[in-house]
Amino acid sequence: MKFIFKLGLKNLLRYKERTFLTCFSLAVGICVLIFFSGMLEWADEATIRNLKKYETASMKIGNSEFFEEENYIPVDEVIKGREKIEKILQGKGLEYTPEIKFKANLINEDTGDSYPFIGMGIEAESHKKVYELNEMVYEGNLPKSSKEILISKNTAELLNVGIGGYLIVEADTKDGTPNADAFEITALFETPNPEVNKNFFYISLDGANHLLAMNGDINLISIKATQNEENLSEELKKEIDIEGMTVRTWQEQAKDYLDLSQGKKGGSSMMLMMVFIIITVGIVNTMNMAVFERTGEIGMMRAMGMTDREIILNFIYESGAMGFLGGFLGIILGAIVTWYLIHYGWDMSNYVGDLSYGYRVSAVFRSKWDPGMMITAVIFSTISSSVISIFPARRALKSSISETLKSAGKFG
Amino acid sequence: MRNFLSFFFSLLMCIPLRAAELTGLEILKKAEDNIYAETMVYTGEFIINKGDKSFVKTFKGWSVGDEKAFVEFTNREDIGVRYLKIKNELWIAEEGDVIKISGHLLKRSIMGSDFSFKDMMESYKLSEIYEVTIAGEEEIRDKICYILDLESDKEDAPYAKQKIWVGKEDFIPYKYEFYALSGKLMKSAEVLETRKIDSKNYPVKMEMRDELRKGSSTVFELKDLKLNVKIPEEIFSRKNLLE
Amino acid sequence: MKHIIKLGFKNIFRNKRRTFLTITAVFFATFLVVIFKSFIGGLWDSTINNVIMLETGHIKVANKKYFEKEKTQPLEYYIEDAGELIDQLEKLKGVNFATPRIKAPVMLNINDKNYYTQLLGINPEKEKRFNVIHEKIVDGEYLSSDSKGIIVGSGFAEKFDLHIGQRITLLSQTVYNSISVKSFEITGIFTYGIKSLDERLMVAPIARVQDLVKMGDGTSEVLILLKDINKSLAMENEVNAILPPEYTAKAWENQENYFNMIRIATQIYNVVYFFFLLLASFVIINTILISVYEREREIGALTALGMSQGEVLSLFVTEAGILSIIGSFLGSLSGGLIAFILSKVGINTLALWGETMSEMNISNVIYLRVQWQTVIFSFIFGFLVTIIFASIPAFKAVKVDPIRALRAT
Repeated sequence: MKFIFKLGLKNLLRYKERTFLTCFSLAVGICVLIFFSGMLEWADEATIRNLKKYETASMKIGNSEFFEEENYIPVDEVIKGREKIEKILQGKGLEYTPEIKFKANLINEDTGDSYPFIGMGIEAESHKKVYELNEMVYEGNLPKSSKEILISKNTAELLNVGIGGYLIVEADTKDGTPNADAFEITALFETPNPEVNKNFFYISLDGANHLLAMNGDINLISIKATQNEENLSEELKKEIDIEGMTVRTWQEQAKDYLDLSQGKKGGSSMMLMMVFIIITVGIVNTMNMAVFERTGEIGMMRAMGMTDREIILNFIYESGAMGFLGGFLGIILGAIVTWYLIHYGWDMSNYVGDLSYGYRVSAVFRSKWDPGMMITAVIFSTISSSVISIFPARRALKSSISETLKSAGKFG
Repeated sequence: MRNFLSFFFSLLMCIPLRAAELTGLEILKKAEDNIYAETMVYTGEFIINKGDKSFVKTFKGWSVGDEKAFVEFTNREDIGVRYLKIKNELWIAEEGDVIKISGHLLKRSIMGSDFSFKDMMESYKLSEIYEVTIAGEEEIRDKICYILDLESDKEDAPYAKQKIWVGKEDFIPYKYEFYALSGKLMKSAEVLETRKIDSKNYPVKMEMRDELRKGSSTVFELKDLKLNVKIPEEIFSRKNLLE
Repeated sequence: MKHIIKLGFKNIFRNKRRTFLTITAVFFATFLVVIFKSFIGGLWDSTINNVIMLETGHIKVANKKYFEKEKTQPLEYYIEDAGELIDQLEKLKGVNFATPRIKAPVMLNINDKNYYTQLLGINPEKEKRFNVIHEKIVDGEYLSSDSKGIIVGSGFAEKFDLHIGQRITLLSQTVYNSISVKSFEITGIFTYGIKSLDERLMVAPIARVQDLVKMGDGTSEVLILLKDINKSLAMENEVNAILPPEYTAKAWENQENYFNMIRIATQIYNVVYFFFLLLASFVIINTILISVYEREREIGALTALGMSQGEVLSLFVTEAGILSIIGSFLGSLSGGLIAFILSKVGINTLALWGETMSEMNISNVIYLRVQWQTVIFSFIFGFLVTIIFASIPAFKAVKVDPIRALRAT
C-alpha cells in the first residue's frame, strides 16, 4: 500500500503541469460552487434582511397586551419596568432603542387630504445602532427635535408635500383624547421594504411623548441581536421576568414573509443542484482525460509487477489526491471571494436598469459564510474525483494491452 | 361633555334667568339645562361636505333625555338604516340585520359626517369634567355671548380644551371650538338657526367644521321638532330596530 | 477546405472517447443552461404569481382617483356598469378574461368586541381561472355567483370559533359615505397558507358586496388576465385607449407598491444566471483545453506531414465546430424539451429535499418557464464558446516545435 502512495505522489510531482491543470480546473469549479451557494443564501435572506433592518429589528420587548392587539396599536399598553429591562440589555452588551408606536392620520392642511399611517417615535442615536433606516434617508436626518417628521417619498407624493412643508399629525393620546399638531418635514426616506415605505412615518421620541401625552412611557424596545435570536429571546424572557412583559423575535413578528419566502429556499436548492451537476460533468471529463492520457504508463506499471487492482488503486489515489487538492484550493479561493463580497460587496448599481423614478436602489451584492458547504465541497471533490476515475481506469487497463504491444513494437 | 347632538335630541323648557354676576360654571350649567328635553320627536337632515362632494341624509328620530334614542334614515341611499341607543350601548340595523358598536369604534364618524358615535353616546355633563372660566364676551349673529373657557385634565375627556359661546340673554350655546392638547383647533361648531318651539328659542340648525381638513363640514338641521310628547316604549325596542 | 472537413470528420470518429467526452461536455452545458434559465423563469413567475393573483392581475383597471387613494380603498371612486366594461375588455385581442373585484373594509362584532377586517367581492367562476382559492377550501364549499354565503379564512374562523352555517353581521361603509349592515351565512372556510389572508380575509360573491356597499352594478377594480403576461405593458396602452377619461389601466409592473421588489429580485436572478453561464462555459473550455493539450503529438505529426500551420488550425477548429454543433444542438433541444414537460408538470422543490411543510404553501411547485429564445441562445452560446476556446489554444499549440511534440509520448 505504501508503495502505491509513493508512486502516486511521485507521478503527481513529475507531471506538474498536468497535475496543476487538473487541480486548477477542480479548484475553479469548487470556488464557483462556494460563490454560488453563498450568494444564493444571501439572496434568499434579502427579504428577511429588509424586515430586520427597517421593521422588526432582531426582536422587540413590549407589553404582551400590546402585541396581542397589535392591529389596533393600543398606545396605552406601555412597558413596565423599563429601567430593569435596560439594565439587563446593557449587561449583555446589546444595542437597543426605545420606541413609541401609534396610529395617526397625516393631514395636509392646505388640501385637506388625510390618510391613516403608523407613527414611530424614535430616539435617533440609538435607532442607528439597531436599524439601518438612517442609511435610507435623503436630504436630512432621523428626526431629533420634537417638531420634526420623517416620511417616505411615497407618502410625500401621496400627500403632495415636500421637505420644508408641514403635516398635521392627528392621533389620540394615551388617555384617548384627540390631539393634533403640526410637524415640519425635514427629511424623506425610501427603503427596499415597501411596507415600511407605504405605512410608516417617524418623529422624535420626545415629539411622540408630547403628542400622545405618554408621560415618559414607551411601548417598545427594539434590540439588535448578536447571537441566535431564539436563544436570546428565551434568555431575556427569563431574566426580565416582569409581569406582562414579553419578547417577540423577528420570526414571530413576521410569519407572513416567511411563508412566502419558503418557496424560494427550495428554488435555491434546485439551482445549487444544477451547479453540482455541471461541476460533476466537469470532473468526469477532467478525470477521463487525466486517466486516459496515461494509458501508455500502464504498460510500464505492469512491467514493474503491479497487479491490475494495484494499478486502479493507484489511479484512484492520484485522482482523489488531485480532487482533494483542487477542492482545498477551491475553498480557499471561494473563501477569498466570499470574504471580499461580504466586506465590500459588489456594487451592481450601474447595471441596474430603469432609474427613471429617481429612487435609489441598493444593488450591492454580498454573500454569506457557509462552512458546511465548504466542507461538503472538499469531500465531494475528493470522493467524486476518485470514484469517477475508476471507470476510465478500468477501460484504460483493457485498451492498454494493445497499447503495450504498440509501444513494444515502437521500442523494440 | 354633554354632546352637542344631544341638545338637538332633547330640549327642555327652561326659564332663562337674568344673570347678575354668574360664574363660568353657572353659565355652563344653565346652558346645559337649557338644551335638555324630556322627550323629542323630529325629522331632519345632515348635509355632509367633503371637498367637492356633498351628501344629503334625511332622517326621523325619537329620544328620551339622553338615555334613549332611535333614528331612522329616510333618504333614498340609506333608507332602512336604523340606530338605537340605550344608555351606553349602540346598535345599527338594516333590513333585519343588526350589529352592535362598542369600544374605540365609537370614535368613528356617523354616516361619514363630522359627528362621531362617541359624540352621540356621551351622557355626562361638561360641567363635571371641565374647569370653566369666563374669557370675555363677543357678538355672534347679533347676539352677545359669554365666552367660556373649558379645560380638563381628566382621563378620556372628549377634548383637552373647549370654548363655548353662550348667549347672555337666552343661555343658548351658539358656538363651540374644540382644541387638541397641543392647542391646535380641531373642530368648531356653530348654531346657524334657532326656532321658536313652545314659545322658546331652540337651536335647530348647526354646522360642524373639521378645522384640520379644509372643506370638510357637516350641517345638521331639524326640520320638524316636537318636544315633550309621549313616546311609546316600543320605539326603543329591538323589535322596532329589526322590523 | 473540403479535405479539412473530411479529415476533421475522420479524426472525430477515430478517437471515439475524446469525441464522446467533448460532445458530453457541450451537451450538458447547453442542456443545463436551458433548464437553469427556465427554472429561474419559473421561480420568478411563482414569486410574482402570488402578487398577481392576490392583488394586481396582469392589468388593473380602476377609477383614477381610486388608484390615487388606493391606500384607503375608497369605495366612492368606482367603475359604473362593470358588466359592460368587462365585455368590452374581453373583446380585445390578447385578453384572456377580465374579472371585477371590490374590497370593502368591514367591521364585525364578536363577543361584544368590534373587529376590522376585509371583505373581498369576486366573481367566483372567473376567479377560479387564475386564483387558487377554490382549491384551498378546507370546510364547507367554495362560492358560486348566486350564493348568499361568505367564505372566511381558517385563522379567522379559529380565532372567533366560527363554523359553517353560522351567521355573521357585517358593518360596511357605502359609496355614499354612509353605513350599511348585512348578515352573511358562513358557507366555507379556506386555508391559503398566508397568515394575513387566513386571519383576516372574507370573500363573498360580488353581487352581495355591491349590495352591501350600494354600488349598484359597479366595481372598484377590474383585473385583466392576458394570454401572454409578457405583453402586459403593450396591452396597458391598448386598454387605456378604450377607457373613458375617468378610468385608467395599469400593468402589474406599474402598480407602484411592487415596483421595488420586482426590480431587486430581477437583478439577483440575472446575476445568478450570468454566473451559471460562466460556469457552463468553463466546463466546455476545460474539456476543449485538455483535448487540445492531448493532441500536441498529432500536431507535430501533421506538421511533419506537410500541413501548414493555418491548415492545422482550421482542422482543429473544424473538429471543434462539428462537435459543438452536435453537442449544442442535442443539448439545447433536449433541454428545451425537458423544460417544456416540466413547465406543464412542475417540480415540487421541497419534496425533492424531503422536507415537509406543516402548512400548505402555494409556492412550492415551480413550473418552468420555457422560451424558444433560451433554446436558441443556449445553442449559440455552446457553439461560440467551443469555437473560440478551441481556436485560442490551437493557435498556441500549432506553434509548438514538431520534434518536441513528436517526443511527447
